[in-house]
Amino acid sequence: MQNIEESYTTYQENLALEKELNILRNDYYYKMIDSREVALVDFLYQPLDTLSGDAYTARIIDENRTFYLLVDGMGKGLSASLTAMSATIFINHLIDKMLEHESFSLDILIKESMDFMKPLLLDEEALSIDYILFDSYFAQLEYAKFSMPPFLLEDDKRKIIKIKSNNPPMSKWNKSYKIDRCSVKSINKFLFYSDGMVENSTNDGFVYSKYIVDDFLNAYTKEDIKQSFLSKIAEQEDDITFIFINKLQLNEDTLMQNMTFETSLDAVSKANEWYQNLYADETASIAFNELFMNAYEHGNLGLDTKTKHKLLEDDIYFESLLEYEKDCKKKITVKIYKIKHLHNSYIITKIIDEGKGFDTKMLSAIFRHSQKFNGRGVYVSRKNSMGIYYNYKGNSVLFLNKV
Amino acid sequence: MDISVSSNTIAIQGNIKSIADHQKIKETIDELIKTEKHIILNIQDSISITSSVIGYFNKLVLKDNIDLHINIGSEQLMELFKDLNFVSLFHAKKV
Repeated sequence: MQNIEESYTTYQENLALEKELNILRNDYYYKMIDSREVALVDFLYQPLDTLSGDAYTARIIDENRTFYLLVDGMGKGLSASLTAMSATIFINHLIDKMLEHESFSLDILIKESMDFMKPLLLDEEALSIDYILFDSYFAQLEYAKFSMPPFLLEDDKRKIIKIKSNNPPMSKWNKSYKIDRCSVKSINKFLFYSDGMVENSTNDGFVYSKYIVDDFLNAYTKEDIKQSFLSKIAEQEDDITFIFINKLQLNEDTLMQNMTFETSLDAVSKANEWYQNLYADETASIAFNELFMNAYEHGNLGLDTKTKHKLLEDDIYFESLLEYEKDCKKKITVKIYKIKHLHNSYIITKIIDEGKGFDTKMLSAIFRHSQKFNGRGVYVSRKNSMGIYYNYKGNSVLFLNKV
Repeated sequence: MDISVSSNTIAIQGNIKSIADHQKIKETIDELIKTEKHIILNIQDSISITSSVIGYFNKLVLKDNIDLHINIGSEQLMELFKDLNFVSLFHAKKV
């Protein structure tokens, strides 16, 4: 009887988590900002319990604008989770409607969501929430912060700028709100986070707020911040959510190699050999092999997963590839950059194919069910790098390795 | 956490961190506001404050129209109030 109850509980918990992840709309799932500049957008969403009081959203408004939302419900448990999820669902629905009519407005979004939330909030409930609109064309941040921890920004002189909340917490009783703007032209790195991170006790008897600025300054990737945080705490005490954005300096000065390959199995071997000779790093080579092969078979040859499985089952996979590539004039370009950050160097490899691209949201299912055959290459690449990121179309992938 | 009342002034000693602390603060102030509309709260040394206490103070000020003034002893807590935009709402100042 107990086993049946336990498996029912586990089943419900898994369903709840899947529902939560469905609610958190993330247009930047394994995507980078690749318009005027390249920036990596990473997320950490680590609920303390099944029902999280934190929520976030990242929505592409147009080719230059991105909207980010961070919500932190008051307290813990079901009430906080219901509030956070309700707000996120409504805001995303509103954004969908605005995008449908090509009429996004941050002001209207905030006003309408406040009007929506007020009746739902209890008399003494205070909701912490960040509304952030990032415009990469005008290099501007527009924001309304309702009692959330300060944004951390690092400029090109390694100076930290803290942007504090410009509104008290959202509640049943608020009558107005403020939206502010700031230029982010010289800003290379951003961190938006909920208070679960900074209020967590550290092993030395303090709280993480003591360390967050230094750790942010020293971090180059999301993994850097995550590991710095986890190494300082004994256990997680609250829901942890953060959004980390890092502009990469991909330019002529940092470009080390630029090669173009044909779409052929022969070129796949040559590319792999070339890359291995450049960088003896085995993990980087593994990631390169998998992603280059993807660019070849799924990108330029346009082979979908179903067809690939059929060819493999029929044992005619390689002969078929040789047939398909005969008519393919498309190319695969590989660019390799080397970037120094403090005492570390990073190799950034970009593989660009000329295919139709794909929707990176399908990667979510792949990474949750890694034992299935589909997408194992991408899964392996992620494991052998510090992160993989696709452009919006999905025909260009970038991955990082520390040298 | 210890709490004491003198006229319209409440003094809180110790850290505000638990549900019990929130309940104690709420019971004390709910009793006081039956007769007082202007309240001074001295948070002497707490370095923390819970979101439920903030939510309660928020309701006192915005719904119940209580004129609340908070004096804060800890620099750390004062920084938190500045970061989270509580200073103006609660007339908070460092003492």
